[in-house]
Amino acid sequence: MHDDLDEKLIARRLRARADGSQDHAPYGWAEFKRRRDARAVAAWPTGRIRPALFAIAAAAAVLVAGIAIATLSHYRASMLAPSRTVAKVDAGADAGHNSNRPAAADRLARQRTRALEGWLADLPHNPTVVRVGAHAAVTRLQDQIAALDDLMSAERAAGSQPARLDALEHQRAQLVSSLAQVQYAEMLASAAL
Amino acid sequence: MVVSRLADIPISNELIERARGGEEAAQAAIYGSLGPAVFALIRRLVANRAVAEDLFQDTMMVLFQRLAEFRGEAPLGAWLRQIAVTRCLMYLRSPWHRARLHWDMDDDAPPSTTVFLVTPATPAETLDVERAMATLTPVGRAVVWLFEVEGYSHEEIASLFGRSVSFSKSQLARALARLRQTLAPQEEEACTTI
Repeated sequence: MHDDLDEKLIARRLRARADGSQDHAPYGWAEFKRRRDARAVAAWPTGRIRPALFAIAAAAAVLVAGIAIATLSHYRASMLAPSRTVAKVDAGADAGHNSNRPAAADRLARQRTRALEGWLADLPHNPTVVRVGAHAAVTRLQDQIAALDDLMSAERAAGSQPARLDALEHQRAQLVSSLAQVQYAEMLASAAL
Repeated sequence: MVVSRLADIPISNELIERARGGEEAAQAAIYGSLGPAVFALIRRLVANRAVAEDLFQDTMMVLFQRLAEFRGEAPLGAWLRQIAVTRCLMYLRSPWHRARLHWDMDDDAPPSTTVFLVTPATPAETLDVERAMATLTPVGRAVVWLFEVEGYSHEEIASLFGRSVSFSKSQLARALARLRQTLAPQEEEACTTI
């Protein structure tokens, strides 16, 4: 009961304080307008640049997707004529080109591919916005890489020549590189939204 | 039911319509009528003056931006009060603010900074309440003010804080206990003097 009385007393005093206070706005209308305009100006560059950034990122995504599709077409053509590829590789091996290629460069290329694969694996699986063209290119590249992995496994099991395996490895590295470019462009486009 | 002063300030529909139409004189008139009470409310909930000014600016900007959405079912002041309170509580709930003031919902410790909202016209009695309020945590102060002065229910306060009704009740009980504790010696002293 005593507590209740105290509460009422406190509440009464608080309300008396609220009613009796001489309130003032912190500044007048002119200052309010000046601050509002200042905020609008501060927000302006972002608002204006954002669509431009998005357009650039989208254009980059389309360009990279185009390059990836061109690479795919080239790869498909070469896959349709495997004997010719093997013949070319064999010819190259006979001519001693592969033997002249430094082993360090191969190692570097493999390391680069592995690094790209690690980066791709770390990317979020569900992008904010999915663009049909770029997504189709990514899916096709992923399918081709998977098919190439199967082919390489089969070639290794069949005891194919190292030159043939090197050629396939090289093609795989190109596909992974294209995939990384498309994914990176996608990421930029999503970030610009 | 206690009705706050902000909700009591009369704003004519004609003035609101003109402000909606973008007439600057009407907007300035609304600003002049409601601005002082809005700032007073914000200062009650957020002690820091610079932050309070920022929140005031936000609130008044939102008022004019969303004036077209105002349907006139409640007084404009009540609608604006809701915007101001929501903005203040968003600030109080923000991780930045919590980290800055080591804010803890369940902490009984008084705030590290003490702010007195004293004007020359403040009588001694209310000055004591001011001082006692300044010993509360930001959350406790906000709950006391919203419940006792603004007339919010526990359900409304709980909803604003995104917590349960018992949270609002326990915060109010703790805050009032602290206020009683702070005011008690002064009351006793006053009695013995008389």
